[in-house]
Amino acid sequence: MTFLNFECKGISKQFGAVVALKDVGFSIKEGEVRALLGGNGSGKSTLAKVIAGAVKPDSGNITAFDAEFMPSSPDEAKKHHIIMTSQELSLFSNLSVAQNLSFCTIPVKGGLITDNKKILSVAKDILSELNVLHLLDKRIDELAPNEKYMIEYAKALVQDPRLLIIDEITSALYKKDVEIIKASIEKVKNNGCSVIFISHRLPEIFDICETVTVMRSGAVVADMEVANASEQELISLMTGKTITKEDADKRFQDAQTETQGKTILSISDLKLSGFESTLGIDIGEGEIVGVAGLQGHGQSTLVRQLFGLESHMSLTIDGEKTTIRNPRQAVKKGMAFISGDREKEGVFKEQSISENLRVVGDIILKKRQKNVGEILDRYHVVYGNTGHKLVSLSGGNQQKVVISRWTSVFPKIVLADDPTKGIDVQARSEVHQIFKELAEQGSAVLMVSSDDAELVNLAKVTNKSRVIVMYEGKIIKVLRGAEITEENIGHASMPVVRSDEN
Amino acid sequence: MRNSLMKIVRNTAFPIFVLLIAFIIINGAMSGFTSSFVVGFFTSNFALCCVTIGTAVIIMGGGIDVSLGAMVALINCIFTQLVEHGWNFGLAVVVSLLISMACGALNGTVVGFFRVSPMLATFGSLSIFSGLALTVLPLPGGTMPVGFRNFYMGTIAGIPIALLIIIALLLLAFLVHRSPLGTKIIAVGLDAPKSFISGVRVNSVTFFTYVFAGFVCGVGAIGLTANMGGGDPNVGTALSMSAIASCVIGGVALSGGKGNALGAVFGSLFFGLLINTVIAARTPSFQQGMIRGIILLVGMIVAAVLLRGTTSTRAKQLRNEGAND
Amino acid sequence: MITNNESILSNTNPVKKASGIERYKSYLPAAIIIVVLFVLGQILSPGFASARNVSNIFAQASILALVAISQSLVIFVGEFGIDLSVGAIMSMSAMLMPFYTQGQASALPMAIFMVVLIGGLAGFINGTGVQIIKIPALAITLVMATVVDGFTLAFTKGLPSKALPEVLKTVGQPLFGQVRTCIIIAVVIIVIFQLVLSYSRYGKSVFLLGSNRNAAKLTGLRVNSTVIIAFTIAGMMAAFAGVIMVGYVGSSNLRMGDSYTLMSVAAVVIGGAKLSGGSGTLLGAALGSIVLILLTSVLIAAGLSTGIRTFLQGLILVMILLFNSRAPKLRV
Repeated sequence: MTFLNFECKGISKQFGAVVALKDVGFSIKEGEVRALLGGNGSGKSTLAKVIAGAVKPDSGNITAFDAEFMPSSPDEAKKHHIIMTSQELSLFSNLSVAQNLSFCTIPVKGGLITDNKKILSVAKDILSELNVLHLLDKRIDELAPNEKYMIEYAKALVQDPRLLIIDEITSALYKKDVEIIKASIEKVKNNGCSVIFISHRLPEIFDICETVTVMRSGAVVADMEVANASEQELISLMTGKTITKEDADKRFQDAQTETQGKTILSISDLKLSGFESTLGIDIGEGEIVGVAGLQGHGQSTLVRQLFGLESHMSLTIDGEKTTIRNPRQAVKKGMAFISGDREKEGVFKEQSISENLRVVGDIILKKRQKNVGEILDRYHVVYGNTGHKLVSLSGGNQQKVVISRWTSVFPKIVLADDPTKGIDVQARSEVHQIFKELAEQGSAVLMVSSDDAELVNLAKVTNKSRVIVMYEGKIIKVLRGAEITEENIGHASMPVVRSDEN
Repeated sequence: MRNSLMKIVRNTAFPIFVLLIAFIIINGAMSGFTSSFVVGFFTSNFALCCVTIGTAVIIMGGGIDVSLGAMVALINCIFTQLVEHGWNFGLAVVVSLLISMACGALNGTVVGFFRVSPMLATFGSLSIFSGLALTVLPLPGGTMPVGFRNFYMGTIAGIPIALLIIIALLLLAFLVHRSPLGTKIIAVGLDAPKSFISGVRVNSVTFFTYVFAGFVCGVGAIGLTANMGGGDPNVGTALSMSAIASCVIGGVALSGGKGNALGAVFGSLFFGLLINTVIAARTPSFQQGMIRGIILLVGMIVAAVLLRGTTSTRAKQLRNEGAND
Repeated sequence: MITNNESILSNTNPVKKASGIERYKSYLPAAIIIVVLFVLGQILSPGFASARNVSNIFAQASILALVAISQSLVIFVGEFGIDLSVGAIMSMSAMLMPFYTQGQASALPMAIFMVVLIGGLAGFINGTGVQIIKIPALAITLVMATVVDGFTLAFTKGLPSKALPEVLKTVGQPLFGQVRTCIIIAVVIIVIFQLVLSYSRYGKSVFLLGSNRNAAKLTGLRVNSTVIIAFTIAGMMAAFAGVIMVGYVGSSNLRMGDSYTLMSVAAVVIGGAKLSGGSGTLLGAALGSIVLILLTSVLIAAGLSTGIRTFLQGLILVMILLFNSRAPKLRV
C-alpha cells in the first residue's frame, strides 16, 4: 500500500474579486488528525474543496501517493479515496438513508442491477457502528439536523477514505454524537486514514486533533502541535488581534436586567410549526434580543413565523392587536425581515444597487426614499455607481445593502435570521453597528445567530440586550447583561437532561 | 402485505393507473372491446407510447426534449427510403436505430456536455431533424413489405405485437431504473450540483438519457412506418408535446427526479383512450378536440393536486407560502 | 430543470447595469447580425435589400414581435415561465375574426374585444394553474393550446372563414413611404409596454419576481396577482397579435399560429432575456424577432428547398446557443 504523502504547494484561488486562497501550502501524514482552523473568509473551506476536487485552483499543485494529483472533479478525488463531508449536506432528501449511504459506490449484482440487499447490509453495518441504526428506514427529509449530519459522516465512511475531510459537522451535533464521531476518528486513524477536521469549536479541536493548521484571510498563518497551543493563542492567530485578558473579561456598563420603554412586540402561546410546545415573547423599544441554541430548534422558524411566513399570526404590535397573514401585511405594519441567505432570499440579482435598496420603500410602502448614495456611504458600502448591479459588490457589502433596504423605511420591528452568515469579520461588525443604530432609533430587534461569539459581541453593542436560548421550540434560558458569554450560551444550548438520555 | 400495498399506492404511477382503469371501463361500457379494437389501439398509439418512454427518462433526469416528434419523422423517412432502395430489411432496421441513437447523441452532446438549455437546444434540433426528414423524403410515399405490416398488426396469444414491444421497452426502462445508472439519473434530476459533489458524472448521465430516448423513438418510428405503410416527413409534429403531457399526467414531475416510465406509459394510453372515449361518446366531431383538451386539463390539475401529497410535508419550501395575496 | 443561460446580447460587462447610451451597446451584436444577413440576402438575391422587401420583412417581424411581448412577460416574471399556448391563441383569434366581423368594419372593435377577451381568459387560466395549483407553466400552457385549438374548431365548425373587413386588411399596407401600418402599430405597443415594464410599480414587480422569487415574497411583493396578470396579458396580447396576423395575411387557417409559439421563445432569448427571468427588454425581443424572420427570408432567397432551409435554421440556432447560451459549469 502506497503511503499517502499528501502535500499541496502554492494553491491559489480567486472568486471574482475575492481572494479565497493565497499561495497556500499544506501537508498531512498518514494517520494524522489535523485540525483546520480559521474564521469566516479564512479560506479553510475553499482549501478543503480544492483537495476534494470540488473547486479547481487557479494555480498550485498537489502530490499524493507519490504522484501528481489534481482532481478535476469530486469523482476523481473519490477514486483516490479522498472523501469530504459537505457542510451543505450532500444527501438527497427524497431518497432513503440506505440509498444515500451507498450512493457513491452502488453495489451491483449480475453486473447490472442495483443490489438492494447489499445496500441495506452496508447501511446496517455503518449505522450500528455509529450507533444510529434506528435511522435505517427513514428518508432524509424525515431526519433531524443532527441526524442528517451523522448520516453525512456515515456516507463518507462508507467510501473507505484514505484522507477524510470533515467540514464543520459538529455544530449541529449533540455532545453524545460528537463522542461517537471522536471514537470513529480514532478508529479510522488507527487504520492509517488521515483526517482533516474543520471546526471552529476549540474544545473539540483540543480533544480530537493532534496538530492544527490555522488560516486567516486566505493564507496559512500557523502549523503547530495542539499540545503546544493555547486557546488564546489560536484565537489570536485566527483573528489577527491579540486578545488580552481584559477583552476576555469585558463587563457591561450599567447592565440592565429588565425591559425598558414600551413593548413593541408581544406574543404569547405561539406554537412553532414542527414543534409541540408553545412560547411567548415580549420585546421592548430599542431592545436587541439575540436568539441562540443548536441549529434547527426553532430559532429560524420563530422569526419566520412572526413575519407571517407560515400561517397567520396574532400578535400585538406597539400596543395594537393585529393579525399578520403574510409578509406584505407584516411589512405594512412596520416589520422587517433580514435573511442570512442573501443569495436565495435577499439579493435581486438582476437589479441594481439602487433598485435593491428602494424595493421596500418604493413599491410596498410607497414612500419616496432618501438619497441612496447617502445611505450607502453611512454604512461604509464600497461601490462604484448605484446603477451597477448589486451582485458586483462583495458579499458583506451586498448584505449591508439588503439590510439598508429595511433600515431606510424605519421599521418598528426587525427580525433577522442569521443575517451575517458568510460575511467577513469587518462587515459583520459594521452590520452590528447598523443594528445598534436601529435600536437607538427605537426599533426592536430580534436576531437569530448560529454563532455564539457573535451574539456575545452583539450584546455589547447596547445596554439593553438579552439572549434567549431555544431548545425544541421552547425558550429554555434567558441571559442578560454579564451573563451573556459563550460558555453560558453553549451550556444552555445543550440541557444536561438531554445528553443523559440514550 | 400492508407494506407492499402502501408502496403501490404511493407510487407516482398509481393515480394515472386509476384514471386509466376508469377510462377503460367507460370505454368498454360504451363501445366494447373487440380484439380488432385492441390491436388497432395499440398499433396506432405505439409511436406515442415509445416517445413517451423516452421523454419520461429525459424529464426524470432533469431535462426536456421537444425534438422527439421530428426525430420520429426523420427515422420514419430514412427507414422508408432504405426499404424502397432495396436494403436488407434487418439491416435497414439496425441502421435506422443507430441513426436515431445518433440523433439522441446530438441532443445529448449539446445539452449534456455543452450544458445548453434543453428547451432551446431541442427546439433547434427539432428543425434540424425536420429539415433532414424533408430532404430525405420530400413527399409522403413509399411502401412496406406486406409481411412486415402483418407482423406489426399481428398478435401472439391474443396480445398485440405492438403491446409486446411496448412492454419490452418498459422492461428495458425498468432495468435502467433498477441499475446504479437509474439512481444517478434520478439524483441528477433532483439536484445536479449535489450529484456532482457526490461524484456523479452528471454530463454523461444526461447524455445517456437523450441517447436512450433516441433509441426508443427509433423503435417507435419503425412501428409507425409499419402502421402507415410508408413515410411522411410531416408526421409526428404533435408527438413531442403529447408525450410531455402524457408524462405530466402520468406522474413524472417536470422539475425532474420523480416518477417512472410506467406511469408515463399509462399517461399515453390514457391520452389515446381519451380520443377514443370522446369519439365513442358520439360527441360532434368538431367538439372532440376541445372536449379532449378540457379532460386533459382537468386530468392534469387532478394529478397535480394528488401528487402534492407525496412530497414530504416537512420539506416545505418558502415558495409555497406567504404569496402576499 | 431548464438550465440557466447567459443572454446572447449582453456582451458588455454583465455586472454593470448600463445606463444611457451604454445600454444600447448590448444590442450591437444583434444589429450587426441583421446588417450581415441583409447583405447576404442581397448577394443571394438582388433586390433583397430593397425598401419594399425590407418593409416586408419588418412587417412579418412585427407580428412575431407582438407575440414576443406575451412571451417576454411570462419569461420575465421568472421561475422558467413559458407560454406554449400563444400560437394556438393567435390561430383562434385569426379564425374568429371573420366570424365576429362578418366582413363589416363597424363590427371590428367588438370583434377585437371578443378575441382579446378569450385570449385573456385562456391566459388567466394558465396563470392561475401556474401560481395557485402549482402546475408547471410548460405543462399547463401546452394543454391550454390543445383546449384553445379545440375551442377554435368547435366554434368555427371547420367552416371556411367568412370575409374580413377591408380596413383590417390594410394593416399590411404601407401607411407612409414603405412603412406598413402593422409596423407602426407594433412599435407603438412595444413602446407602451416597455414604459410600463420599466417605470410602473407593476412592471418593476415583474422583474423583481423573476430575479428572486423568494426575496420578492419576503419584501412583501404581491406574487400571485403579478404572475396571474402577466399570463393574462400574455394571452390578450397573443390574441391581438393574431388579429394583426390575419389582417396581414388576409385569410385564416387553423394552423396559422403554430410556428409562432417556439419562435417567440427564441426571439425573447436572442433578445437578451434569461429563461430564468428577471431581465430582458422588449426592444431586444423585437430585434430577436427581426433576426429570426430575416434568417428565414435569407434562406428562402438562397433558393434552398424547405427541407434544407429548416435544417439550416435549426443548425444556426444550435450554433448560436452553443456560443452564447451555456449554463454555468457545475464545478467552480
